[in-house]
Amino acid sequence: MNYDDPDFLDPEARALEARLGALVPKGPSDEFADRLFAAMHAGEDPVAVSARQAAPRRAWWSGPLVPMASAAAIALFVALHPAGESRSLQTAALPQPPVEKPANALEESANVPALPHGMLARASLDQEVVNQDHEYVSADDDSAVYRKVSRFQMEKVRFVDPDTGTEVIVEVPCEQITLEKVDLY
Amino acid sequence: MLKNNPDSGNPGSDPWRQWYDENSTKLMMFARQQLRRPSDAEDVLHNAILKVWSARKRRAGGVAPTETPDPAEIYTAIRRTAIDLGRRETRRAAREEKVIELEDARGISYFDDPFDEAERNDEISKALRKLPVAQREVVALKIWGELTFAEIGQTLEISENTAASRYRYAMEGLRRILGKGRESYFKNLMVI
Repeated sequence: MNYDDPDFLDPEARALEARLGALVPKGPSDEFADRLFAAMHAGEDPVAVSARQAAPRRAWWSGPLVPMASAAAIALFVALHPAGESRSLQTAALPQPPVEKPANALEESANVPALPHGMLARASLDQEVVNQDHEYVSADDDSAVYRKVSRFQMEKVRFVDPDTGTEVIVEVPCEQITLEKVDLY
Repeated sequence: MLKNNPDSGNPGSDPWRQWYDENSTKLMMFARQQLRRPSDAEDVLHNAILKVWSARKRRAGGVAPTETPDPAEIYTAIRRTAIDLGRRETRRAAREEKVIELEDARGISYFDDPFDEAERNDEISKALRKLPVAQREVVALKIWGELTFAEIGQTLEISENTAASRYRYAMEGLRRILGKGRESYFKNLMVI
């Protein structure tokens, strides 16, 4: 049987089919094509592009996982300063005499603010989006609905101890949260 | 026949751009059968097109492809991307439900509505949403995608018979939903 033959359906179904066929589906939004072809021109990976579109990149230390990052920094501090030599955080926060830094160690961190405690310099080397999730939240006055995008990523960061020149690369879990207003049409 | 590509910086003669302009509404319609939120459907459509484009570019040795996708290929990519998204986001489905209900109540239409047709089109959109996804996607591919049942079967990885059956069930379902309590509805349709 040829299912594509119009006689496959009874007259009422054919009328409905014709009615549906006369409707013009809505296409993507006006900005959609621009985004898509910009991504093609840039030759970017679909997943990376999608994540980047969700929100501009923010440094991991500005996200809500700062406590985790700080804990990682503290753990690193302890690791770099074995028992007997370690300083308290209060001591570490005091101004330290200038120390000559090893060549190339900080070239990527020129515009990066100092870590808490001022004892380590660091530079972001790489980041990998682990997971992206979102939920919908309402404004306090219910005037709008927002898409709250949470992006979890592992960021590879290079720490350099200015005292010893010791360089350590660690992976730090980060979360970036952004709000996008939802158009409810 | 196709001279330029997306890397050429000349979108006017970009075959992918032409392909997009000719197909974007039907692709979006299909994506919206997979996902209830238009914004999610756009995300899926974006990623699906880029995936196909990137795969072709890799096969071409890094050169931007000029050959545009065939229907089965792009619809399959949209469907798989939507399934992946669905898997990742199942856990937040309940949280979204409230927003989706709100949108459904507002009657977000699948269609561009001429003013005098808006109400009826909205009714059809709501009726379509009440069908199972498996039937909706066949309807979208058959009516707006203009695929044959054989092509639909290939796209959805089902037999041609199954595709045709789902379509017939879908039409029956739509008639039942649209005609509920209104015997005259189909009589009106018949004289259009």
